[in-house]
Amino acid sequence: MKKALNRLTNYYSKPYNVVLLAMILCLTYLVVFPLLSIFQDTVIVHNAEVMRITGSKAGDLTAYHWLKILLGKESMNNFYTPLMHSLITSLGSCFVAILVGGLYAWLVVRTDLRYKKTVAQLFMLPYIMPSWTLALAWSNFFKNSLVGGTTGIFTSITGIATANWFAYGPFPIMLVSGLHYAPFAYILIGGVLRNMDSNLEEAATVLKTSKWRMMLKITIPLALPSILSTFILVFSSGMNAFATAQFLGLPVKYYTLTTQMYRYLNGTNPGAGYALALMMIIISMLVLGINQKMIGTRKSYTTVSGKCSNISLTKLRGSRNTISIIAVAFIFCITIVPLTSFAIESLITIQGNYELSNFSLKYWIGTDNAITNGILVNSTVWRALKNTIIIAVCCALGAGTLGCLSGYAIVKRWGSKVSNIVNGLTFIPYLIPSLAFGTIYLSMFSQQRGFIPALYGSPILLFIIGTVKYLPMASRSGVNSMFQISATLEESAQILGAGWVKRMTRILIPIQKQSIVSGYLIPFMSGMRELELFVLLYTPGTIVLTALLFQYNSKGYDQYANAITLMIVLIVIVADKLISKLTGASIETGIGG
Amino acid sequence: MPNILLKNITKKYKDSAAVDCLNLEIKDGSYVTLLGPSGCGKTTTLRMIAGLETPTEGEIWIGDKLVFSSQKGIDITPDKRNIGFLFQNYALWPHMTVYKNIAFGLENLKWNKQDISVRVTELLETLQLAELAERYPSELSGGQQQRVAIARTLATNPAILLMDEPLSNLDAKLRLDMRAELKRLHIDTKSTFVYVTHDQQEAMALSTEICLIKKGLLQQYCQPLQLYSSPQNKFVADFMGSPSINFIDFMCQSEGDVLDLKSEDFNLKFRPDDEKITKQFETARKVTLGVRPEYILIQPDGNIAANVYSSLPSGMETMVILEIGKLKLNAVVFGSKDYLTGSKQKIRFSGNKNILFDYETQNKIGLGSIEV
Repeated sequence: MKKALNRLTNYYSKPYNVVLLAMILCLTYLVVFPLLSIFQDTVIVHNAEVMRITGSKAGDLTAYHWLKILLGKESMNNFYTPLMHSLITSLGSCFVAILVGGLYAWLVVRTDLRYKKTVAQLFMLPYIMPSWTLALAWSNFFKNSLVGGTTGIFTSITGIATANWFAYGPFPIMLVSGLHYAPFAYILIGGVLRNMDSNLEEAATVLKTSKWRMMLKITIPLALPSILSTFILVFSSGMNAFATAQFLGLPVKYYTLTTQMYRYLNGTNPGAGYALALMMIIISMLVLGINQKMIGTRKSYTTVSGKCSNISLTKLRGSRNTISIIAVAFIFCITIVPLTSFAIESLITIQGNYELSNFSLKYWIGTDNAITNGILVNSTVWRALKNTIIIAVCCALGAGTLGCLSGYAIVKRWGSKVSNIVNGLTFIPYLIPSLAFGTIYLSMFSQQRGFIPALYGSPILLFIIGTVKYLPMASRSGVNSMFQISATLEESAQILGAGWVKRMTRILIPIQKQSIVSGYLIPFMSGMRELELFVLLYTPGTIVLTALLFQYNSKGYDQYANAITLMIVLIVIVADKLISKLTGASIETGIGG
Repeated sequence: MPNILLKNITKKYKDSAAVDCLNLEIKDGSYVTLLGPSGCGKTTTLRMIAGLETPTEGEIWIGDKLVFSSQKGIDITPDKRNIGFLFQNYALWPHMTVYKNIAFGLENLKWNKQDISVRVTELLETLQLAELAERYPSELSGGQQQRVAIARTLATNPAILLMDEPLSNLDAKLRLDMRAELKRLHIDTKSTFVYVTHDQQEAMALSTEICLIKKGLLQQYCQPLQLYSSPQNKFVADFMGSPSINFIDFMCQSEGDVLDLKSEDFNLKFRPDDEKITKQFETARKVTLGVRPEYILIQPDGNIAANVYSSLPSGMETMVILEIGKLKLNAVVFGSKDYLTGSKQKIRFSGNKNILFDYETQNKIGLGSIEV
């Protein structure tokens, strides 16, 4: 008895065990429970469905939803085709993201590319911008007469009508969301490239390995774990992306699982919507499982041996200038050009007319506009801005801290069951589509549950859902950074009598400051530009900028929407710069610009 | 088979020079060790020979090929220098099996599968790795990883093998075993070995020549035994040998064909090999006498009294630290002997390879024998 008690006290005197246990408790409530409740929702009759399911009343068990999407005669249209579309666009955007992000990471970290600083800084922009703003820009430039109204800038200038496949559907969806997530690949792959033990490549060089072979057989395989985790992240995001698919897919009736789910959830058959959500989660989990299998444990990727700094840069030689210019020009096309287009669109009074006389600042500072005040003198905008910043900062602090702690605890107990469970749990939120997640939280927290009061209408609800939803990224970053620290560093501090808090704050965190800061930055940026997650949860009191932007956009207040988009992007850039000034680390410098 | 020639090689990091105007000729088939305390620039030198690091100034020749020249703007990449490189941390590729690691270089040379298999199997046999062929590096012990790294480097039969502290990550016993293996390997492969270590015993045991470097500056480049018995300066004398050489400061003046050495604790006479040396000391000046521990004999008929400060027997020999006044001397006594700490003993100086250094410049003045 006493022995058991001793063992118990010993177990819980280790901070990482406490962290793991606390994480399991919290995540069970905030992740597993919602997941189960999604499942429950797929087999019961909802209020809206009483009419369509004859002889049922709300709350009855039913197989209707599953039969409808899997076996019904419309199942091809309801499920299988959207599924194919989702898979195609997700895989396509993974390909684009890894190719573009990986290429840029390699160029910046490993070659003597010119303008590295510019490249590194600008390359973050697509990720900072809400993904659908790139879609918006694409449509601004390339839309054709299919949807009616004015054609895009490209057609106006060149007179060439864009083909449907080019303007809408899978191709632009892949490209736009791929480019949106390319910075992710850039961060993850760049981090590995930078920290990789340079001897591993030098050994290959000495053995007369050609450049290509080096890339294919050494560098890429060594970066494979991070390439695969990029793949998982982008694939899941692609599966769950709603706005981009809605925006670029709808004109040609190209439905993906998310847009299809939105129809159901918003329409008269939420049960089928939940069933789709569950299918999406299952698919993402399958992909995750395959990824786990592929990395395996045998090859143990301890490629990062301390802080090796002397990476020899590949010389681009003759093509240095050409490559540098192409690299910068491409980034300009996907960042500055769309941003400029938003700036211009926010200034013109009558759309499609780009004469100087048509320019006006009234959508920024006007107080006598027909619709509403200019965004800088508009109390709704200011309130939304305040809410956005508070929520984004809180989510970043919440997710970043939890991610760092759980990363530490997971690595400490690596391979143990409890560590695997937490590692899995922290990742699940990534697999749950934001829209469905939001719906579930809405029903979970709209009434009092136990000691937790009703949270609907409170910013705390947005904070909780944001923290949970962004935890996967933060904890990935935490695990990665903790893996790079040899256990002996902490142990030696322990022997010198440093307590756990001191070890964390004086040893571990300073060593991995850069990657830990990026563990906070990514949730912050996500929070700043989040839409899908909040769109069902916000109230007039807790409105955020993106939600306002969505409102303006759907009402056709294009100038306001463009102005707000610019505002969001500018705020995040300023915040990013501020953090880099204060901590000496940012996402750009973290990767070595 | 190529000589390696370094001409005025300098490597600067910002303002400090890691290697300063190094001139070195490494003869074909030799086993040259770059030796020195950590941070002295030896690894940098090795990496510059390999082409992994670019010198700031100078020229490097491998055989009759100029592989680097700062003036002519030549910098041949490592893969074209025909070298093998053994890394301190082995740098085995974690995602490849032992077999794949070893075969990799051969695949680069476009060998056919059959030949590769024969060659790899042969190496696996030689290095006793046959059962481990399908393992991944993380599944090997340090010694096994080391042997895989050697096999990988040897696979392509490089004419020059550059090794960066390859034994420093092994435990002591394994290290001794591997020394013998490396020396055999040198004979068997007939390659030129350039070897970096901070361990002077390893350098002594293995090399045909040692290049001793201190803070980027070449101190002495010669055969190991010569380095030991006739060091150019006090640093070299001190660095070589374990236990370390004894240094005793004296006032020195010539007296006939011997030198009269005087100190607070005792006086000695030094008979130099070269008579000219006595002429330098017509007026008295300070010198440092270097006496190797094995030249101090503990004998009942010795002529100087000393206390035993401590005695450290190892079975084969015993290291004794002796006290004469304030002076402490290292002595080595061969055979299984032990001395009581604090006991009084008589000692005498023997040998004719005692070394006289200038006190100011610390350079060697000459060798000679000691009389009392």
